[in-house]
Amino acid sequence: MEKIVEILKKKDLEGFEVYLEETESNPVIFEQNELQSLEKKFDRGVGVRLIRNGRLGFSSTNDFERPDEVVEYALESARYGEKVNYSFPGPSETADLQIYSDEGWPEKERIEIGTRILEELKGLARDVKIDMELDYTRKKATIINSAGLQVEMEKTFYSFEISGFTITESGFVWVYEQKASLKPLPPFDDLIGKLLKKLEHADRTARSKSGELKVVFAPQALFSLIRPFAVGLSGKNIAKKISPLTNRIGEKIVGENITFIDDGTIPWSWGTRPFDDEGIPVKKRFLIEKGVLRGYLLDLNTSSKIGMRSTGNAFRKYSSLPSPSFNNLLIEPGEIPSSEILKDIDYGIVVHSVIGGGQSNLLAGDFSLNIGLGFLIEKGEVVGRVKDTMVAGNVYDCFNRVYAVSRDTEALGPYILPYIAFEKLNVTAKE
Amino acid sequence: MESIIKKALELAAVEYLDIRLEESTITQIVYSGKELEKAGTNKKKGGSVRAFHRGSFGFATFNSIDELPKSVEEAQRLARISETKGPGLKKVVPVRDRIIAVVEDNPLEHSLEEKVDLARKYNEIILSAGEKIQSSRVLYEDRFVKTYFYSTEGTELEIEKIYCGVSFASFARDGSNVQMAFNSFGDQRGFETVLNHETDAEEVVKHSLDLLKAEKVEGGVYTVVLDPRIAGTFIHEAFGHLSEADHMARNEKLKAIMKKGSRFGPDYLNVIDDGSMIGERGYIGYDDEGVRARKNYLIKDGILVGRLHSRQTAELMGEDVTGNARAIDFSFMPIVRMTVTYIDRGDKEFEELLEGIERGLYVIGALGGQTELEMFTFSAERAYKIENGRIGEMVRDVVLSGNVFETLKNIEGIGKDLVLYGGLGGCGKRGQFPLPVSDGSPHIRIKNVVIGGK
Repeated sequence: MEKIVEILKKKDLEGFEVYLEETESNPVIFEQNELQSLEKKFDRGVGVRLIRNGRLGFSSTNDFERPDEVVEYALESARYGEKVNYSFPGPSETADLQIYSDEGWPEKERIEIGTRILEELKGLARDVKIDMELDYTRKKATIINSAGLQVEMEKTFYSFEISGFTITESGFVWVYEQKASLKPLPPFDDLIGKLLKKLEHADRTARSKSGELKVVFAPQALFSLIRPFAVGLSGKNIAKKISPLTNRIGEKIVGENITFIDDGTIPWSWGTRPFDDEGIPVKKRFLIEKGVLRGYLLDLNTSSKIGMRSTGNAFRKYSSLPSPSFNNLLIEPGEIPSSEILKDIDYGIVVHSVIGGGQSNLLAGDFSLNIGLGFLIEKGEVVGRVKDTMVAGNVYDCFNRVYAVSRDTEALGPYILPYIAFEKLNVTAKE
Repeated sequence: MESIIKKALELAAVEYLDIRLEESTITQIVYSGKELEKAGTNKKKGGSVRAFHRGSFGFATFNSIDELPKSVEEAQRLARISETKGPGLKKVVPVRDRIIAVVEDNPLEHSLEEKVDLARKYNEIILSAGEKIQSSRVLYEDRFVKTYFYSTEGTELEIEKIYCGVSFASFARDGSNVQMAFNSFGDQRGFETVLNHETDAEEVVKHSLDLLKAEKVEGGVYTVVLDPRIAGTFIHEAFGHLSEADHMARNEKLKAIMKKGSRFGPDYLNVIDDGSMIGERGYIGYDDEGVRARKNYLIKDGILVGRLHSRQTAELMGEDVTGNARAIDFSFMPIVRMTVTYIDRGDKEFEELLEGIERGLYVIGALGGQTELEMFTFSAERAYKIENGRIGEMVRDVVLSGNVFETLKNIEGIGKDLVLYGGLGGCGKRGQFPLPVSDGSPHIRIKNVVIGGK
């Protein structure tokens, strides 16, 4: 890395940045009730950004024996590159956040946990095939730029994912749970209970009416409705003026009970970090406050195009240019427990997973989703699983008609999401 | 190189071990609206060691070849602590082969400037089409990959691949209404694949403008005629993934459903996966376990006859290998994947497929698809109403869903006009995305398809 910096210093440049990333992951993988593999994956690479004659050049490599080559490629790239009017940031004060715990997670312990879960599930009558991944990853990123910035960040990632697959009278059933943190995970036995509850509800099929129905999105499914917002809030689409949220800061865009917070400071949360991948300090900020648009997701490049400052939302790998995204997205919880929201439903659907997220016109805010795992609720009780049923709408429309946001939330990686209940969504069921 | 690998193989003391080394050079040019967002070349090299011991795998990756001996030890250690005493890998005859990528017009011999000019030309076609065109996205990509594969069984392979492609999207805007149309071309035939798409770029613009005026589709159950592109996505999502044996190898219930000889569709339905089709984006020659690719019938005359295997799933199910274990690059374990998947040609003219449809949709272009093996969803770029056998006005936001066991049987006709598509995207599974695949089909007609909407 030092060699690359030395070479860059000798070139006639308006600015440069070297981003070094080192990742070591160590997943234990179970497939279909058997231990399938243990992996140790190591990757170390460097991305070089430079500005020459007002144009951006970029290249990356993981071959450290030829530091001059990556610089030459970056210089060649700058002959054609994007015209930029930003400069790399100098050092600034950053918070001391909880993102690193080198306690580790021994492979043997993880094999034992997985094996124990399989044993427990074997005792049940249900014929479920379980896939699990228990991972411990360490990542170190170093940023050095021509403005004197030289920072290093080291994060640890602990994660557990489990999915169950079974074939019942209602057809193929998939259930999924996960837990993820930057520090060692607390016991996650509760996940198994949740998994089994879903399986139990999926035993029977129920046929939903078509038409405008009450629909509740559980956190795992809500993710698909967040995607259009991620696209709409992205500085890339704001700068291009193709986002419907362009020039609308201060305007009410959804209902008053909706608040989106980008908070990169939550202790041990997946997306927490003192600074972003360009070295800009990360903060807690409102994106949508009580329905009113407060801010976008910006990095150096997109912010410079719309005359704003970077919001510290740059994400990248060494092999790619930065692009803005959420640090941690928190949708502010409401007052009512999700169990009560469901109990209050006279006729409606609760959706736990969807098939086909992201395939609609995301920019416009549209969604049209096949319900993967969802249940028909009548008089507060789960009647059975709905199948061959689609739910469609537009987020900028339906988030105006949210009648309840749950008090309980689920952390799905960097997304901390409640249950959200919509008064009326279009449901199409096969007759 | 060869001597270093062979020396490392001598360290092997497990049932089976293989070594993959890979070097790739990728050039990408991205126009986003007026801006050239990216133009340049990235390199990546590295390798991995996969050890198999008593039923499970140990896998270690590295960047520098100096790490190879250490990684061999590490992979073996991981394989040993994870042993399950499960079955072994299907026996295969070791092969020694060298596949050199030969294309008439090698993209690597063209300058970055030439590629930038090409992308700019397509981008200008889109942006110059009037004030309603709000933005564009043009992507050019070529990728040269060289892989060495050596195993303790004596398989020795050296394989080169050259991928090249271009894609363009047009974003039209009228007030808050933003619509996108898209097309892409990509395969392993060289630089000629990205040339002469001016008319295609113009059509993409036209479609995005037409979509501004199109109504949203009305939700409901329709008879649909799918164009070859979305029919290809349909067979990939609806049936291709279900054919991947890793889902069923240890699942008796699914094995019973997927019993060979079961009827899955009408007599004239034939579905094939074939990784040996040179030049196609999904061509592999050999899979990432060193098994030679071949033409595998999945459905023949409407009857289930085959599936896709890795050496492990083939052994578990007591069937032959098919050459379908693939990894997106050296840093991933190979898993069961598709290659070039298609519905073979039938005997219907396009007009015959429309005949007798009172209320239907002619669905064109694919934006994506997803499956949970039984239920699946795929979305179209655009569609046209069919009323009394005639094609009418355009509609948008067409997302189709179905149930594989019903939908394949609901196929009512297959055209003669088979087309295979590659493009620049790929397939995703178990965190491995994008894997280069091709899919295709003739025009097909299906009844009782659920489409979401108002």
